[in-house]
Amino acid sequence: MNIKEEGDIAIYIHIPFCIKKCYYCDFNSYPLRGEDVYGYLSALKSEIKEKALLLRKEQRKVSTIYIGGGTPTCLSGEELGRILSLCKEGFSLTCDAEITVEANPGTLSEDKLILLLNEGVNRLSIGAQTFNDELLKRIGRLHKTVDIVSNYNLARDVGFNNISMDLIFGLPGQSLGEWMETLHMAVNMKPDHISTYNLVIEEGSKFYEDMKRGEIAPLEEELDLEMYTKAKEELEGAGYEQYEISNFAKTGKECRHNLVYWRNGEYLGLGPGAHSYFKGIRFSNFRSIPQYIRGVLSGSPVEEREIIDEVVSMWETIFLGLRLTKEGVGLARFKERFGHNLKEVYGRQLEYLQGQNLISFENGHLILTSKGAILANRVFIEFAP
Amino acid sequence: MGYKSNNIRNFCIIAHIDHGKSTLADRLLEYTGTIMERGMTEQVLDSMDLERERGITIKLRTVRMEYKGEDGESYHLNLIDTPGHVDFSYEVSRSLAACEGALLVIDAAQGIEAQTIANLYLALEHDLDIIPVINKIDLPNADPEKVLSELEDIIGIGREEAILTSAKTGEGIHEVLEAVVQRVSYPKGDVNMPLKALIFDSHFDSYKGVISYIRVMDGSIKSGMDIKMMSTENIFKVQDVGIFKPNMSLYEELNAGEVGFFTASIKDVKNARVGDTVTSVTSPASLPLPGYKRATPLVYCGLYPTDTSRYEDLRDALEKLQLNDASLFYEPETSVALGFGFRCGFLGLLHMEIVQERLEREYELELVTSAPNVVYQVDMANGERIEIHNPSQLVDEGMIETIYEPFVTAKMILPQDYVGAIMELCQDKRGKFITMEYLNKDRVMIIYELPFSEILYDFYDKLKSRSRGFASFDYEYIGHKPSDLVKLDILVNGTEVDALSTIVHREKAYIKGRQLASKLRELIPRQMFEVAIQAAIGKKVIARESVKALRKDVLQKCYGGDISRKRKLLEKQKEGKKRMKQFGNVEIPQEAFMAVLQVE
Repeated sequence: MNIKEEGDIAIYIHIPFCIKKCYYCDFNSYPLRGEDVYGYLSALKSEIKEKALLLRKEQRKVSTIYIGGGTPTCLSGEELGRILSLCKEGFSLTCDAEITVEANPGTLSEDKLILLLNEGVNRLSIGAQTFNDELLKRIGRLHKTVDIVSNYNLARDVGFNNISMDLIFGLPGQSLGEWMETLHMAVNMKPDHISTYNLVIEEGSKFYEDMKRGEIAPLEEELDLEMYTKAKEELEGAGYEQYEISNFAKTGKECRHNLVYWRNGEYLGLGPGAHSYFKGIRFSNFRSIPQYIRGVLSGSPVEEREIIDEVVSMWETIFLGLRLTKEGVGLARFKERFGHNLKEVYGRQLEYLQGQNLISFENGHLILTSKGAILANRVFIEFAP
Repeated sequence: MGYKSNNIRNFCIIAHIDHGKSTLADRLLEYTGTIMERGMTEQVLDSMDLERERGITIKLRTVRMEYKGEDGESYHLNLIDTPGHVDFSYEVSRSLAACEGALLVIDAAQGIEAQTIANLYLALEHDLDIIPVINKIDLPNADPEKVLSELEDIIGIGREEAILTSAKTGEGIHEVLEAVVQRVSYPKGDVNMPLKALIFDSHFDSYKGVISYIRVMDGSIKSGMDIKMMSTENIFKVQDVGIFKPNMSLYEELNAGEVGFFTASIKDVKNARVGDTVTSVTSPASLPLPGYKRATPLVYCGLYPTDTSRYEDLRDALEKLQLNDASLFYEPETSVALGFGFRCGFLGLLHMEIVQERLEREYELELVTSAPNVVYQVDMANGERIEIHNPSQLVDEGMIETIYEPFVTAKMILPQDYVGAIMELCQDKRGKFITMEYLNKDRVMIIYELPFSEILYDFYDKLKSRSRGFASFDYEYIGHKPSDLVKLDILVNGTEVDALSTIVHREKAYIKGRQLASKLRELIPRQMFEVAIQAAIGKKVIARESVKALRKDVLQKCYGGDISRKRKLLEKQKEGKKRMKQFGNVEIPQEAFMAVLQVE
């Protein structure tokens, strides 16, 4: 895992549509309706052209494109194809650029997959979530286990050689046994990359309302923790390396797009509610589709801007970097970036956290210990300015 | 008008809280033209913001009104305002000592309440001429007839003596002023005798130093004169002499019977204490006026800056507040749990709240407050007697002979339907029944003797809720008495947290210990290790609880590139942590230090 892309940019494109919103989801997505899609797509196309022009002026290359959502694959193959070809025309891509599309089982057909492959998509991220039909139903997913398997096999047959699978644990009513079964089934299918997310019941989701009414409750912490530990054991046993708190990959199949975030690199987000970090400023687009469209038409879809000063940037570098469980924060890289030694800036915090056995230094990198990984927030706040 | 002591009337207004004292004062000032109606802030005499918000008078104000009576004579009417809360009863008694008469204001709808009676007794002790004023007769539910009967039955004042008023509409104001002229005695001082003046209040002015509010009893005081404070023998040269109308105006001199102020470049209110007697250096009075005592704090608590680096700011702020408030006491204190702070003494809980609020509002300090406690006296086995201002100072039981705690008598007036509920409350609070008296066929006055510590926190709220708001309450400190008390300590991970120690009655110690430990378990957040909470009396642990270790605190969710949101979540978590006090490696939130009060 030696990917060095300083100077290169990651591009995120947000597709804010789903056929139906899942019960745990608080992301920026809306039910799919024809008239919205049309306006959105034309605004997005303008934004792609405008951002492409900007990067060309800056002579910046693009090393990853990630089309996420929502459910990008709920758009037609042609619509997705148009977005992708505009990107390829506009951005100056590196020769080995990673191009990912998120897909939900049941939204993939052979034609759509071939079209994506032909447009240069070289990575698929499938939102499997769990392999238990009853649970899938309870969390508001529209697919069944068989859809995961058939769509996955279809993608392999068509020629995708880099497929990731998203799994979610800690669902209300989920047992450790069910989670283990999901892990087995996922591992047996041999995806190249697996993300395991722990359910957080967020305000804005249906689950949040259910929880307020007392209909569901978050899992016991001990069980949650056991699910996490078992996932790590299971996946590492099957040859996946944990490279980030929630992410596991076969050698060389780490998600390069997400690595840009964790290494506190630069990226541009396009589409409603998408976030960017460019030239020391974090900014985000309007979340609502109509506002986003109006923004693009009148010159800028940006809703919020925040200038990141050096102190905050150092903190971000640490709390993002430490999520990378193997790589952590490179001391040399930190020094190169900020001109300060990490050990000098945070002497007191490092001493305290080492004393608590939450962090350690490995070959010039600051990393979380296994205890630190499950108490990561406690570690991160110590570095807050 | 020149000086003529029989044309002077000195009077005050006394009332139960909310019976309309301040509004009545405003109307008197308007009627006599002391103040123009226009441009007058409601309730002129309460000039601190806090007072106006809380609707109570804390600092005394005094005003001279010019009034031409129906008899054609011109009068100086000096209205001396009194604080309306039992915390300040010593200040009340000093201002009563400066008067010859009192308006006893009673709400026409509420009738006689506990403070009405307490204030009346105080006024009678000072031999004041009482003029009952039935106020708020404009209210739809006013029942002046009933109140007049109460006046006769309970207080023994004839109904014909009462004046019916509405301070709101102005009805009866003229009659009140005439009654002051005709029924309040004029001051009986001798201007030719050596100077004797009573200080009944003072405030600090950054230009002039202390401004002392005085009532001249005998002799006269003028600028340039050398004076002596009789309690301290300190000598000062009088700079300015004057009166309030209501702004300060300078006069040549103040003579026997008059009320006003003087300044003498006094740098500290401690040198011009309320109740002290001022006399002249050249021909001093032989005896001071009776009744002087130093106001002594009854309630103590620890005040600590949340941000430890603001310790010096807190010291400065306390110093400034004390310039104006001789009854505020403070001394540096170090707590293992809370760091560097001050042990502060107050006249009562209201006084404490006011000081805290002013520190936070006017000096922008964030404070951690330890639970307030009363002052205990301890006879040691070696014969020594000591005072305990902080429960953690209480030594081992073996070294103690007797512990004394302060007691009060509490007067409560309430409809008879609630007698059972209120008596039960008083019994729960270790009360000793003294007497019960029917005021009329459905109102009752109950008197209990209670440990002061038991009414310190939520007694008043409970009294109100158990009587549906109908009970009124007043108390008076009667002295320290022996009690079977023990120190209840809290240990966190085996170490005593000094700021959580309390002194409780032995019979209640077990239950309090258990409740406190379980309350703390709720309030102390989970940490990266298990936190053991124990309640102990001496070496004996009486209750145990534990806060389980936090096992997992990590975000395992993909927020895409929304790193600002991640950061804000972490910032919020960090803020919460900052508001806690680090005790060893355990973090204890501020609320925990008040938990002591929340257990039954």
